[in-house]
Amino acid sequence: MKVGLLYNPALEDFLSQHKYVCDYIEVIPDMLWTDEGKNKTPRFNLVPSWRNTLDKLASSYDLVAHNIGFSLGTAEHFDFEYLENLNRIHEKYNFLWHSDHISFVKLEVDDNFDHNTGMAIPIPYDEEMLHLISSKLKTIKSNLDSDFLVENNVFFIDIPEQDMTEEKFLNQLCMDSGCNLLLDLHNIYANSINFKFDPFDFISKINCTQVKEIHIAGGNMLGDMYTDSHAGPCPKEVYKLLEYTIPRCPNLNGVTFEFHDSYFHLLQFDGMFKEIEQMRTIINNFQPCL
Amino acid sequence: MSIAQFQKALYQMIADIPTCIAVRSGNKKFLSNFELTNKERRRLLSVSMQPGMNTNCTLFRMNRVTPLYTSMPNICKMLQKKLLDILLEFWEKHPKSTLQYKEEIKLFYFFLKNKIEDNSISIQYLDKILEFEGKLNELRFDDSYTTEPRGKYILSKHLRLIKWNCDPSILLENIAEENYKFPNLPEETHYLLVENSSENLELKMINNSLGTILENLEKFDNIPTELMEMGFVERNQNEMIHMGI
Repeated sequence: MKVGLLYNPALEDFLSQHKYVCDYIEVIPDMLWTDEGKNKTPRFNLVPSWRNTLDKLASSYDLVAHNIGFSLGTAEHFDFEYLENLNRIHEKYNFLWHSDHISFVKLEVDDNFDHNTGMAIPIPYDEEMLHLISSKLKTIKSNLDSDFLVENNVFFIDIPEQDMTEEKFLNQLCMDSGCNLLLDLHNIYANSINFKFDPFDFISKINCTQVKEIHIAGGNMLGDMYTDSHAGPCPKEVYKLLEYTIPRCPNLNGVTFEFHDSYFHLLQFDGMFKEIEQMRTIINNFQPCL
Repeated sequence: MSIAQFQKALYQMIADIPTCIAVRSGNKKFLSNFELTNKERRRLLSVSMQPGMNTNCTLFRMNRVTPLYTSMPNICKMLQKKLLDILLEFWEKHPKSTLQYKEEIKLFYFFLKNKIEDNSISIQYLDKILEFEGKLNELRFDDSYTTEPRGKYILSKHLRLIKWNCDPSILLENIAEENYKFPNLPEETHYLLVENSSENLELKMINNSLGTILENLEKFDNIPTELMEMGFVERNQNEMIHMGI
């Protein structure tokens, strides 16, 4: 089982001064290119500075791709060109696995660019949505030569009259699509604070054999809500969830720590070592006996 | 069809606070613009009343400002208290955004440039810092904010030239220390080259005679070969095509 970090520019010095401090680096491939718009040739152009960064990272670390652009939850939308482009990038960097989120960030519009919704907007956990996302995941899975994981969402609104609970939706989606789960424990933690439920009970209802990756992170309050802002250190409550979850996940490949670069001052190098050490300790002490 | 309509309505309630408030207060006009089932209508009415919609509206704005603040940090800091009003005006003029930093930054660059040119914003040296950050972003995103250069020779594609009417080193030193109260600097011409090397963007002051040549390349049919050997200048491939070469 491996330990990884989600890349951001604040990590550059840390990673170059402490090579092999973690086992893999997770990157957001969407940062790597610019999208000139549908029907443009070439549509996707690599951003030179990001390409240099990725080449440098790939020379020392295994890479994992955490996508944001499939917008799995958007109705009447699937971007095949995006998938083809991702395949080209995958051929070059040979990512250990890919993932994206169970939400929507794009709306289909008439012009060449998809409309950015500005944030990941939650979807209702309905049968109709289950089929819609499952169908997309099957297409991705049959076209991408890599494992594909879906990540549970953080949300600040509770859509009423849903067909099923989030846990049931996640379990069923993985079963129907053949994809696996990226379980974001900090998202569960944030939702449990905002909507007052027991996060351990939530995890107990997840089919953890489907979990291949776990995310942990920090957050902070914004008005009345606790957000997944990736604000510095991971709270001890989330580490407790990690201790609880890891023994239940026999197929887990890795645990990834995420933070936003604007909060690096809350971590510094010492804080980074501490987070990595805590992840490794929990993995060693709590990994499932096979 | 219905899910797509539901998603568009929910998005608009997040992107536009008055719309969310109108739905919350029972105004049915907005929702009547969409083909929704009764259940979807109930859902939208319910979420409009939840405290989490305030969080969504705030996060939406924070996320849209992030590319601008990340890629034009000094401009944002120089605008200080004016920034919020300018952003609201910018978003009203350009309500749609893409997931692309490149497009969003370019839109904001030209929006500000127009405002500076029509004197809607008057902040000392803002125009030059805007040009400076614009050139950095051109190189970062392999883009160009100017029309395709004509002439036999052009500045190498990994370089950008900025002509200053004051000593930029003093301005840039202040910026590095996040001091945006600039001294009044004497008017004098300086040239700064920004180079996209394999690792970083590098700044180089060059002398005025070289700067003048690089600024006026389109006027030259011949240039000293050293300028090409040193990587400052390259043949204009487009112009060669125009000439049938």
